[in-house]
Amino acid sequence: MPERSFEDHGARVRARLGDAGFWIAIWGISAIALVYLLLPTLIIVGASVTSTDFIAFPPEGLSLRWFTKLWSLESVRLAAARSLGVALAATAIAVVLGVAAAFPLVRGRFAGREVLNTLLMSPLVLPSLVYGLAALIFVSALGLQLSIGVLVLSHVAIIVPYVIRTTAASLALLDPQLEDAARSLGANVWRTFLHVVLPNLLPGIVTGAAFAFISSFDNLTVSLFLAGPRVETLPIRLFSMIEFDLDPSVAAISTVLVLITLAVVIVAHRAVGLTRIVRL
Amino acid sequence: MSGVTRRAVLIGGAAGTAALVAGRAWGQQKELIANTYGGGWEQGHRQAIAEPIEKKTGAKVILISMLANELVARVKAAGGSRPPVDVALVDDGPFLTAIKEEVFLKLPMDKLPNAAKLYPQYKPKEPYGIPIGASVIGIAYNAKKLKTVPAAWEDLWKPEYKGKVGLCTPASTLGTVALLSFAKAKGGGETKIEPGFEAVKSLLPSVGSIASSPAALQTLLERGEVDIAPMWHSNTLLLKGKGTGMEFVFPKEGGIAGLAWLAVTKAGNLDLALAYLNQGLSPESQTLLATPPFFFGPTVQGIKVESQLRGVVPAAPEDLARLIQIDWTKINPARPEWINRWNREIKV
Amino acid sequence: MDQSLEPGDQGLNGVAATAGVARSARVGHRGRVTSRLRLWQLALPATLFLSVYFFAPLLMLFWWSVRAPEGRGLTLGNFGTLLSDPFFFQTLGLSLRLSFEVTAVTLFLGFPLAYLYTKVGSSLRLVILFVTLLPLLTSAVVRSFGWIVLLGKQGLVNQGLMSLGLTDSPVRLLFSLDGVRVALAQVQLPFMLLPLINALEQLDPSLEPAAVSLGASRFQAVLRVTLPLAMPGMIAGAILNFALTISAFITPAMVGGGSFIVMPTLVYQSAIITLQWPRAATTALILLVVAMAVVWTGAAVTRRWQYGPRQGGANA
Repeated sequence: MPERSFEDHGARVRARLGDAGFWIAIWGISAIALVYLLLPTLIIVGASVTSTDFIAFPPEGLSLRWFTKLWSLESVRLAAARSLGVALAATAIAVVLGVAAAFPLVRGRFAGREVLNTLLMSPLVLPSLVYGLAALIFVSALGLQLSIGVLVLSHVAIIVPYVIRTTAASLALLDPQLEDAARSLGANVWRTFLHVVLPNLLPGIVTGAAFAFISSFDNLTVSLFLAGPRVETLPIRLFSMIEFDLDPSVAAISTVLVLITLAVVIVAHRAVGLTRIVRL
Repeated sequence: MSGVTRRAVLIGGAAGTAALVAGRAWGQQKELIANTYGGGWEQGHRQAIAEPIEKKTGAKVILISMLANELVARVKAAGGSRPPVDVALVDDGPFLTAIKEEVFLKLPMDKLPNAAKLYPQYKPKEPYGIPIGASVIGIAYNAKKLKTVPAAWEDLWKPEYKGKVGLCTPASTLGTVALLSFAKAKGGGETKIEPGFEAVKSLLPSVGSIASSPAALQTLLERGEVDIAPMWHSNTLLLKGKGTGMEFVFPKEGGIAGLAWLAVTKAGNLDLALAYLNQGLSPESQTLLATPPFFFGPTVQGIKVESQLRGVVPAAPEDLARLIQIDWTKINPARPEWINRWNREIKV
Repeated sequence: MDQSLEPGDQGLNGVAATAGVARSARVGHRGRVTSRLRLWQLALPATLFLSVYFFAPLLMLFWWSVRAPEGRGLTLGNFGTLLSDPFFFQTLGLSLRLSFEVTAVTLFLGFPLAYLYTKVGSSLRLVILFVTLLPLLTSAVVRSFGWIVLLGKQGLVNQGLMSLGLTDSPVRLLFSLDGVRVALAQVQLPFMLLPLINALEQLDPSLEPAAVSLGASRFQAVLRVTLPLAMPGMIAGAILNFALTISAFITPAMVGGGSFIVMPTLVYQSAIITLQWPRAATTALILLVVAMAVVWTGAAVTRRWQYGPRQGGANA
């Protein structure tokens, strides 16, 4: 390749400086971005171990008393249990619906496959605020009471695309000749599915389920519309506490939520690898 | 239908039905939902009323935080279906609205034995609720940080307070009363609110933050985001007890009286709700609520209030009678418009 | 905004593979018909579910927004009423401005980080991904709460400003437009990073070094080669982010405070506080239309960028 040709030594130095400047800018802004991303989370975790009666960061004195207090806050316990139940139920339903739907999207060759794909992915694109309102009006028009069941189903609607996406990605990597081989050896569709397809899909399903779970657990916007005071989830209780009852126990609850999220990220990494998740 | 489709539809239907059934079943455990205004109200009602009720009846009491105005609207909106709460805590204004709109149950007073001890001046004209606590609105200011002691509403405009004033929106009783007080100080009143809005707009350069609830305003005062604000006496004394240096003063125009009411919505479990109300009127509960850190004026006869608090906490109806009484029948029809107008015109 | 599985897909099967599956499946369960028929049926549960519980509600929302008051047929009057209200219009303008600003900031902060991602080794990549995914999956309530603590008069930001001598009394950052900007940009940054990383990763890695070896500085290479090639993906990410930002409710509500009103606040207030559902539906529809308009404009710009004003292979 032709080498750089410069008229003088000065231009070469200027080029080097220019490059150095460029990389300093890139690294600098990136470092700022990384800190910016982490900052609020770190603040919360730090504020949760304060020994004072009020929120303080940096924390004054270290103490775990706000965490131990959490267990005695009955409303928090109830809300957490409810969130957990809703998230588990919604994830289970989403997995059943989503895994099934991944097959035609990846393997199918019918007219309208693209349309189907757009339709099934649309909850990811539509603002959850709009959906929350729509679901509220719809449910009321049907004459249904707002209940946990209604909430679970609304969560399913918004989390099922996660399961579809990751399962489809896993499925796309699966060589169908493996299934052909199993079938030609005499296995029927179900056995092939259970012993050949499913084990290979599991990483995608697990990742999708993890994302689905945490999206449901964390969800506030849709829940604000559909959950009533009788169906308070943990994010709703947090939201209410921040307005009406702010003290370090809110930071403690938030820290617990962050830890749960951390667990989900680790599960996803173990299952599929973070670098692959990025490509979804 | 092919086998797979049939299976899929069955699974889907079963899952959906299971979710709905589980939801209904979950909701029917013996439980009572009541609202409070958060902060000291929630702690106080939990200790004084909810916990004793849970011990006595074995039911679960869930306390949610919601302001009275919004609560009445939501109960009304529920119409024929299940209201969001079983027991409602409301202020004077929303209470009157609720009676007018027939939102609450008429109470069988014979099932509330403790109501016999109510101060006669506090007894409601029609038994749609019982008074649970008496409060006063005045000015809270941080004596540790501010040298000038406020003596009247117009003192809020003083230069020392610039950027340190807190306000509450008319979504709360506190905000509505403050707006009205400003109007009255400038020659207006319940039907002439214009001077009030002008006053607030002229105060804006001094305003640090505007909160949507007294509990949120209390947090702002505690964290030093603001240092002076119109405030209920109970929140102020609670903050003082935390060592923040907060003090409560009656403006020279007079403090404003307020009663809080417990009522029952047309939901399930009347007996549990009545037990809750009765517990609230019991001497133990009223005594607990009158002591630090709650400071609510008792509504039942025979409750002792510490002498050092008597200047602030309304210990008896005479204390409330000395204060300004608000005619909520005049305010209630105009209040939605005040709230709307505040939303549009008042921005810090 | 490519949620489709097709472009750049890893190993979507060719027709032969599918045919192979179809052939062998004919001998399958109960000796049924071709797998093609059974295949699309697997999508039925999800499709039916979403039709009932996602699309039907949206249709109903649309209907409520065009319903004339007192049920006298359909009308677009509701939209007119809201849009001619100066306060509503002002709020719409604020939402648009805020979302553009936040999207621009996330692009500015995100591009260098995404670019760096493509240049560093796997362990640093993992760090970047981790730092991106953790906030992404953390609840918006928790993150906004972090900003409430950070931006208060006694918060870290004010402490920093005062110790640097930039101000001698705490600045009001919380409950202000500036505070919302800062908080919202952080909340949205992970959503921008993922499409950016994707877009940059899919580029031919030899193009930039080629430009450098031809005499361009690294900066010029990025500006003239990498950036234009990544532009479609970047625009896709930006418009997705814009749609998310303009409909964000939680962060403006918490960090902006009770007086800070953007479009989502109006939707929430009319739906839950004042219980004016037709108004809420109309507001939500306007929000949706505005967001979609930006999305379609962005997609059109992308197409123009990719294919140029001339379509097809005419002579120059």
